[in-house]
Amino acid sequence: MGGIGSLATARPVRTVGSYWPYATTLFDYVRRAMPITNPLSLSDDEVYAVSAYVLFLNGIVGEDAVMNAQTLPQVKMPNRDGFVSEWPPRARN
Amino acid sequence: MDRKPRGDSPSRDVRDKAAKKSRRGFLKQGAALVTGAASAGLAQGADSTTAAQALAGHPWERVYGAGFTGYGQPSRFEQPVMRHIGKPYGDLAPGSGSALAPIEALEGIITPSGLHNDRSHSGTPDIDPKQHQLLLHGLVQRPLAFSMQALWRYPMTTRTHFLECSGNSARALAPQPAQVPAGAMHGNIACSEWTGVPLRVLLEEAGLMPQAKWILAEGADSAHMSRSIPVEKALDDAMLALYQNGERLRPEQGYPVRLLLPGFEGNMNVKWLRRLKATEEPTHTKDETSKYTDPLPDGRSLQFTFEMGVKSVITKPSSTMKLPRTGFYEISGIAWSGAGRIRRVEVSADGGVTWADAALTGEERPKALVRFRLPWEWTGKEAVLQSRATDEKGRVQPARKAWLAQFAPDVRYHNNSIVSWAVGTDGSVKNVYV
Repeated sequence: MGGIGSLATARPVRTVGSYWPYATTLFDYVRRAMPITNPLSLSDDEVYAVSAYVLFLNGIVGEDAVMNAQTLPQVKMPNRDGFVSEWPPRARN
Repeated sequence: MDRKPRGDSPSRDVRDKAAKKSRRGFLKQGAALVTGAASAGLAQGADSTTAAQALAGHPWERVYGAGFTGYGQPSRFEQPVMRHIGKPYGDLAPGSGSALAPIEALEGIITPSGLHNDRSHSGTPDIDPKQHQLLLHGLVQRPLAFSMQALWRYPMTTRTHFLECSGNSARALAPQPAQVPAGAMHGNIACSEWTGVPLRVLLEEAGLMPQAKWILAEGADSAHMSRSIPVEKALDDAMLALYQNGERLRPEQGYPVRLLLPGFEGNMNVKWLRRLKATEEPTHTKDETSKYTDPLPDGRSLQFTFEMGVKSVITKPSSTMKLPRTGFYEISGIAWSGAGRIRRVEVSADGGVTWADAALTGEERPKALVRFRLPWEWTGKEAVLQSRATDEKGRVQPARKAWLAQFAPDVRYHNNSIVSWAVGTDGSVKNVYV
């Protein structure tokens, strides 16, 4: 949690809220890998709830926000435009 | 260390002519040094007393030897040669982290399968090959599912390639230089002979649709680690590897099938491959956004930096070792590039002030390790050993400070900067930052 606005400073803090470009990646990761001791055990509703909770902890959505297939893709993360694609690669040393 | 100390440089003749010397001329010089060293007393003279001792008959010569085993193991006297294991979450997640190859103890270019670097996100799954399937679907004309038995019948190819984790040498970015063996810092690299089915063959059978520009590769580990692969690489030299160094893949290397993308960062060479899904856009998985991205000083980050850069490291002598006495030593190390072949490796003994070409031994294969060697006379003075590789595209391994200047302070990936080992007057070899 935290770190929003710190990426260009001498002490960048990279979290879901400050660094991740897409909220849907959070859904994907929780669904495939969590909980660490029993992955693939959560229902889609539960994955949406966990995603909503993590986004709330990071101050991205409000406490009453409902995340589902329509609302989650609408969430714009603070670092949405923070990545530069290197594919195809440009010439470099 | 801020200062580059004057110390022993490679033979004065070599340094003076380094700029113009051909490799053949340099090897002759090397041979001369070897001859000189041999007469300097590396071997003990075998007088009749020494000969009698050597032939007296040790205990192992007086008893019948051990019987045959089904799967051979190293000598018990080599037990200390093991992978360096790092588990950042401790026993909470004992399979999340890395087991690094002990490159300081290895020679040649092939990493023994049991010592190959192993980076995993949720440990090694125990996969039954009779039940495991590889699904190929998404933007294809014919979605397909392959059993291992089916995959095994496709035409195969054999290639020798390195696999390097993008986070290799991240430990060398710590504020203070760690005094641990070379492998504990730079050992997330290994090189094997891989045999498997070219991915192109399966993609042609499934029939990629024209709008398919990316392929999501997903593993069957509990983390279901997944990465987006550009279709150009998938159709180029990508392989579904089934064999490693002649035998079936080890479990920690992806048994029964892994994706092999020669020259691309290790994370993308998905182990325990269970799915390839052709898509129009990249999936932007956790491991290509949150991780494996390169932060810049201005707050932005580079994404999709797939190709591993040109790199080398001296493995012998290296940090924590000690030179027992002055005299001849053969500097030995490994070099590689994700872009292709290594063209040259230079070695310095004075922290980068002067350089001489090392000899590259063995076949120069693209996107594989090459072993370099250079004879060196240590006269007892302080020295700082470095190696600098150049690949066939003309890219040169960068100095540490120049590389660091490109990134934000918390950069962790793609560290291919020059490695420095300081030799003290007592012969101790230490990790230093130059």
